[in-house]
Amino acid sequence: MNPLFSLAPSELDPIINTWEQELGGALEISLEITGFDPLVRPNEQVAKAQPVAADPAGKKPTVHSSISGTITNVKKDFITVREEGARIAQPSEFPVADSQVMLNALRENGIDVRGLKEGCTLIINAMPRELGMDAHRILIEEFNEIMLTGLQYLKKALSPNACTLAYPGRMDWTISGCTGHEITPVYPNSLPEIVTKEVTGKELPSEVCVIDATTLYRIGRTVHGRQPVTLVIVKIGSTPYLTPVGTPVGVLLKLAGFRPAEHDRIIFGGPLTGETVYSLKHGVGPDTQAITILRTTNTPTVKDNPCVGCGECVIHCPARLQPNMISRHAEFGLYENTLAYGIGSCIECGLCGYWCKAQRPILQYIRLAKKELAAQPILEGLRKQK
Amino acid sequence: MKPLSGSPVFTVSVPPHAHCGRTFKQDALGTIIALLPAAAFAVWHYQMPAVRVLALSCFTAVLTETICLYFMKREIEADNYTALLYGLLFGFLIPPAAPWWLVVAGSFISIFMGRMIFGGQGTNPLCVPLVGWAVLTVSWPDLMDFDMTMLASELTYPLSQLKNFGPETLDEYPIKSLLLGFQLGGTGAVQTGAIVLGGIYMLARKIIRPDIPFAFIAGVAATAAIFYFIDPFEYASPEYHLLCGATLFGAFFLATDGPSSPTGHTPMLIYGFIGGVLLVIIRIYGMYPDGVPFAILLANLMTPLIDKIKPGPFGGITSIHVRSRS
Repeated sequence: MNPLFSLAPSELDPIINTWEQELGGALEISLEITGFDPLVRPNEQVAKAQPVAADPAGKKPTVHSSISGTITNVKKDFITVREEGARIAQPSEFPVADSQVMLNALRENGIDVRGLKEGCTLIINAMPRELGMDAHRILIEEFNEIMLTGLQYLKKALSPNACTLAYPGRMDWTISGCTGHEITPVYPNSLPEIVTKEVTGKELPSEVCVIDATTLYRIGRTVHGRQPVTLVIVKIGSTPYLTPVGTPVGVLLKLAGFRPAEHDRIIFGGPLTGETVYSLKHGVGPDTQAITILRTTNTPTVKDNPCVGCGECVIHCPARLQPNMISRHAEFGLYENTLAYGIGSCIECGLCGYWCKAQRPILQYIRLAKKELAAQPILEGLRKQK
Repeated sequence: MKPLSGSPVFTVSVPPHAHCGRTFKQDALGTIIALLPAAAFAVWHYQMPAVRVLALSCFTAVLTETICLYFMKREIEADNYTALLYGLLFGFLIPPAAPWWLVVAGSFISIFMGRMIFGGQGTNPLCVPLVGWAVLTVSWPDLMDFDMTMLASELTYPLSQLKNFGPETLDEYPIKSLLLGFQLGGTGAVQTGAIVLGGIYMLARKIIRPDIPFAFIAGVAATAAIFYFIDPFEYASPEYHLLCGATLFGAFFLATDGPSSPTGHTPMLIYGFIGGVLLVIIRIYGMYPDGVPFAILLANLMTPLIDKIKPGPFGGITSIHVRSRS
């Protein structure tokens, strides 16, 4: 089997707390706030866990400062905070009320609750998303009671009719109050849609909510500590780093002893679905689980070649689509046509682009078509289903 | 590029950032390597005429593509070896004694009408070398007839013997001599043993998937076996259909051409099988001794239809608005 697709959790090195390390000066974090309204001004003093930006639409989770310090910069896409002092924000309340209130309390404390519905079947996805994204095994193996706190809160908020922990085969991970379901640790079995299929046997059922094990831990920690979680575990190589949200990637790479060279790719996430960053000042997000570095090698890069019809994408597509045809239509702006090829079923695993012999950016073409189609007006009936 | 604020310049790419490392350029080169044993056998049997045909065909193909790309105001892409490959494949199909202008015309027509007219790389609806072959066969049937052009050779053409004198003439051709290429036919296409070696090489290197060649061979064997079972004195046995003429060359090198063959396991199997069945039917009922090129061209024409055979998409979602990624 291709080692890139192995999702079997590996042995981890001991965890390193970045604030105990010599960083060479005060830490300056960078929080991404694209599309958010800033709640602070430059030179303002903020406390740890104080909200600094909120979503005007009230859907995405609020952003909090993860350290006590001074705001040094407020830009359209990011806020930077320089560490100073030891102020801590007031604890927040988590009332036991109806579902909406409970979920909103989580959202205001920085948890992404989009997609969680009352009365659903809850699946906790403990599969490493990609190769090397397995630092959450610490959470399950050592902080099980925090996970349990999170699960109990979620159960009150959602009153799910069933609760399942999906975990990679041959591990003995459990959370009490959850049935377990072993999944073969091979990519793309970690993606929520495939996990749902494995657990329920149905493809894209509407009554299932999938929540990441890391998110469940963050819910537990938030409710337990009555404060937003300000720390995140980011794995680099085989070492997990416990670090404040927003720590610049350059700081972490320096701790890991990695010197980035020209034209390397620094990826938040894994090599198939992660996001590359252009600057070492980019801060890790609350959902960043790993940083992958791809050295410049002679591996093929994306080109604007035409499709050569080898059919590798069709054979490897886990959603049984024809990425070759979808990308051909999307390439020339014929987005409507892609619907007939089932573009709505794409789970964005990235395998089409991985296997493409013509080095086409197939996934990017699919995303483009999806975005263009989503921007078109829709029928009211469909809007309600959402 | 100047570094921004002292830090190195990083590459920003779209996911997936990793790649399996296989490109169509490597595959074209690999296919050319797989054709080399057969080319060597062709030179052993026919000496310089074979070299002449193959070299002329390759040269014309690459030149035609380059000129077309120049007039299309596109980047010259002779360095991806696909034009060279198609030129070589075309050279394999025609008689070694073909006049020079026939080789040039056929190779030019293959690339121009089979490929560039549709937009170049990856767009050909038909297997490129077969387009030139079909035009030549229809236009100059005498020159493309192996018996007529190769009168000087001591070898004979088993498929026309079969057509004209019945299956008992095939007893003159032991399996071993057929494998070693002691038969008339296309320059490289009838070097059956070497073609099999090339096919195994391509399967081992994963340049082609086994679906199409094996389904093609199965189609030939099954259809030939049915006819042989009906009347063994009227029809040739399956092994002769497999080893005479360009059957295996078609199965491994022509039917597997990417743009003109379907995608997905089931469509590939159906396509290969149809090609194999058509091959035997054309050999038995058609006016041409060897049915390989026309069988594959007909199967190519069915590709868009066969491609319609596909499983439903995951979850059967028909609207982009129903799902929002959680």
